Amino acid sequence: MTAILSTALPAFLASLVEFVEALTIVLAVGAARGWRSAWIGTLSGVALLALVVAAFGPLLRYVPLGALQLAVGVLLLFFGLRWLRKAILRYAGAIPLHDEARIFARREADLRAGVRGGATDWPAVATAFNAVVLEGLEVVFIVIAVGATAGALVPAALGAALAGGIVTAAGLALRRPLARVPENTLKFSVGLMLSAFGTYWTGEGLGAVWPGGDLALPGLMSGYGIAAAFALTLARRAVRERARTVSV
Amino acid sequence: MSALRKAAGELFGLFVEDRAFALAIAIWLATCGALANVHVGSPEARALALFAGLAIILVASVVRDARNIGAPARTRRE
Repeated sequence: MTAILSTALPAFLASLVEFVEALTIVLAVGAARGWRSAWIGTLSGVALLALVVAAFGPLLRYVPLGALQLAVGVLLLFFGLRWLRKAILRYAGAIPLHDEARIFARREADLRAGVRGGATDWPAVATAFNAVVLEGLEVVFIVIAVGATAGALVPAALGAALAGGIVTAAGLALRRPLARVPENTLKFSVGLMLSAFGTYWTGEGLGAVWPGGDLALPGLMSGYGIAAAFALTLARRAVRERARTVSV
Repeated sequence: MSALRKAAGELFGLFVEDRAFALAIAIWLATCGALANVHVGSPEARALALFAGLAIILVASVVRDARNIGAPARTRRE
């Protein structure tokens, strides 16, 4: 139960964010250049991702657990802290919030302004393909990162699949971007989780011992939460001071 | 070739957005690794030091960016 919660939940939440971002671009392609191109690009991207997983997935069992923990832990740290940092800066008003509706409108306008490339609209196909592959790679990485080291790949993959199913169903039903998903809150929460996982596995890989064993994970999440709250307070103050300086 | 380079750049971008932030993390991880190799401190203390260093790097990076790019969001371009 612990393994399911500690792997399926972060995989689900992180994948939800990635799927929403991919969906926005695929929908923009479909609306601006036709659904045929959007589908070809999407399905080609999914096929490539399946090939990558099929080719490299089985190799994971040959990697020693210690090396896997360290490698995945370090990558997870970079990935999680990057999300956490960006979410804090967005909360502080230092950088704008991610706006799916605006991104959709801009992408759609760009695509409509472009020239169609013949019977099959290859630029449109490539746009959808790139979005699916890039966001999909992030999903694959997250599933492997939170699942493989904890020996719970299946719950992690199911969490991601559930997120994919929900976003795809919502996208097909609405045919517009899911602008109401609280993306920054999701990124902040997932950033906390992934940073905690990354720190935990990196420490294990470096031979450190976490007080309390697995119970250190919620402690690390709380620790990063406190650090994030402190950073947010200081960042808001810095933004206010800068705004005051600019307006004078 | 340029497509491969672009793909590698995109992949790199998944983990590294702010180079100074990523470099600070990398230096701290290397320091923790070196300390572990020469067995400085107890394993529990090294675990806590790893977290503390990363948390400080996070706070410092956020504050630095808020000062440098912290004009109100509505006045900045995305």
